Amino acid sequence: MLEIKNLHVNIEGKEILKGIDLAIQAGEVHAVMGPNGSGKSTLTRVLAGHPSYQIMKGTVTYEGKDLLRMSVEDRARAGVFLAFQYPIDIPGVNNAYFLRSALNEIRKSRGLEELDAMDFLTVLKEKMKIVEMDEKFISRPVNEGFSGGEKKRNEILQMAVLEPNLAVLDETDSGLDIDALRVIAGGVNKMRNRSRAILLVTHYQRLLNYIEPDKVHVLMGGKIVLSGGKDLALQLEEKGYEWVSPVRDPSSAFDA
Amino acid sequence: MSNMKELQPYEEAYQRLGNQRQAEAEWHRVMRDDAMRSFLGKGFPTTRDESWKYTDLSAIAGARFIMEPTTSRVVFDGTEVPKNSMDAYFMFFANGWFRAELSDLPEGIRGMILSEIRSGDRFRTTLDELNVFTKDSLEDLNFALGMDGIFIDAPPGVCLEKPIYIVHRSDCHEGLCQPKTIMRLGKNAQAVLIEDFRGVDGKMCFTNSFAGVVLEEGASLEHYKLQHESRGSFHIATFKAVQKEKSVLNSISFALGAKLARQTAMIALNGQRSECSLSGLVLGAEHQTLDHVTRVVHAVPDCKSDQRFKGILGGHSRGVFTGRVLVQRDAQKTDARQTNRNLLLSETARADSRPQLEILADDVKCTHGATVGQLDEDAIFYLRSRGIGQKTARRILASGFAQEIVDSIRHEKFRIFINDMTQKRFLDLEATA
Repeated sequence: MLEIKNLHVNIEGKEILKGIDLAIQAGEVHAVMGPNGSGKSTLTRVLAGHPSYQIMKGTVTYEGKDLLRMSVEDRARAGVFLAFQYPIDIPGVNNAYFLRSALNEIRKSRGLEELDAMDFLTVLKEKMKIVEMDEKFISRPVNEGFSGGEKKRNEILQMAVLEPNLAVLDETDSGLDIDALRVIAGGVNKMRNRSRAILLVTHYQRLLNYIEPDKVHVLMGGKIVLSGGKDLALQLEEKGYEWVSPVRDPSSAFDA
Repeated sequence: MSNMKELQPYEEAYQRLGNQRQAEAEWHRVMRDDAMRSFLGKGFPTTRDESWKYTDLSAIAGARFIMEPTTSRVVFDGTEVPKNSMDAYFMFFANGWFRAELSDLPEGIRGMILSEIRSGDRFRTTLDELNVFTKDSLEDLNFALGMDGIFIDAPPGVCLEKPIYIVHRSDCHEGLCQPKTIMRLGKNAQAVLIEDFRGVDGKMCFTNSFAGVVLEEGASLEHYKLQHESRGSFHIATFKAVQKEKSVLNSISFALGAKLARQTAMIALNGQRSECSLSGLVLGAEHQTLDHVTRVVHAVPDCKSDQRFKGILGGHSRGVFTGRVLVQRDAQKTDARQTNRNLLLSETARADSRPQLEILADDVKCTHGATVGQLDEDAIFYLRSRGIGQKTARRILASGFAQEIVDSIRHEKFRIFINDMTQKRFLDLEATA
């Protein structure tokens, strides 16, 4: 479903991704782990099409199409979804209106009929159960005044409503207490199926206790330095990232 | 210095008033004479006047308007006012003239048509009380040459369930329309007053309106003003309120139309524990200049004022906000807030914001803030990443920015009416972006 080849990405002239290779098939869940500053979030934002990054080299093929040539909204309409690490507040725009607009844009692009407000509400309420979200969030402005955990739930709710083929989750576990983590992981698990691929980006292993990945990749210094099965995550938890790459980044030598 | 040639048509119009004025009460005649003298002395303000620095009236001063626009041709039909969706006491003005035959006065309310007022002591008292603020030359012009208006006098304790909805429609090309609305709310009386100024595409009119309200102790007024005149028009409006003990005012201005418009709101908090909330929404496009001026005077202790103005400016439009707050020496425990936030949708739009706070008391809470910014790129990316196109994302964000002001309309039906109107405006904006 997704094939990344030798991807090099800069931001403001600085190279962040230095040749990423990664392939995910439909039905698979992959985890990308790595220390802070390794390029994890950059990778997720590049897949979603964030305009601040320059693609220097490489290709990303999604369902046979050149993903990098597609606009942000066309990627979403084609089934790519990014759950943000820091979801954005949209004051004055209520959650239901926002989500209905998004879903209808996607449906329109696929030649499906748009849902009216009533039909959509039925769908929305059903999906809210997946992440155990209170119905009061339907009419609240998007993410405004939400706690960290509520924002993350809202991201997974959006994923549930938009039903992407490829879901990229950027540090969805950060800032969550254990109960919220369980609920959110449960929501993601309910959305696992044979036609959907999920890419989890995380710093910590604990999310993977709840969402079991098929493959784990370690991203360090802008490159995937190691790939393996789910046991790799446990080893990382035990031994730390330094175990993977004994040669320390010279820029962090002063911290030691 | 006023230009005598510019003012000559006004002087001639005043002389033509002649006979009509003979029927007026002596004090009314004196008031007109004074206003005319004052107007001729001051003339139209220029951009050299500090308070008109950003709003240039030279196009008005240099134009020759029809001083006595006709009313007969104006037809009102239900389609252009929310008559079907809203239950209200509708009143109609056409080119500044009151159309009594179309209008509907609430029961239990004394209403008077100004041109028919002969004695009118309460009317006179109300006008006197509104004189706590000095008049500028445009108000003088309204008081000198404006013939029609209404005086709404709500006795103590009256609670109007339906809003009083005044439609001001102007369709006389190059006509000068000068209506007046004077209102008195007795002790604990409650009302909703809506002023709706509208025009006809292609007709350029000059509206110079005055509205004044006295709120007696415990009275409460919701005041909504909608200005959606034709794009070639000029619109100047003054709203003044004098508030006594524990009275509450919520006044919201929506500025959508006209080529050049200024809304001035002057509020005197003269009674302890009185509260006023003033807000405004400006939606500018093309070459519109949309200007709001406020002046809130805290004269006594324990009053609250909250000002919230937002501008969304596209094309070559310009938004101006001058917010003055005066807290007098005795007005301890004042709570005065003010914000003006502007969103520029184009490189050529512009916003000027001038908070002016003058605080003479020492135990007060006064805050103000002004911002001018653009749509948040991260928010645009967020919406696009959900499948929403660039233009639609911009429209949704702009309308979200405006929503706070629309939501502050407490009257539900009117809130829906304004919401539909602003949403339509945002859709037009999306289509032309």
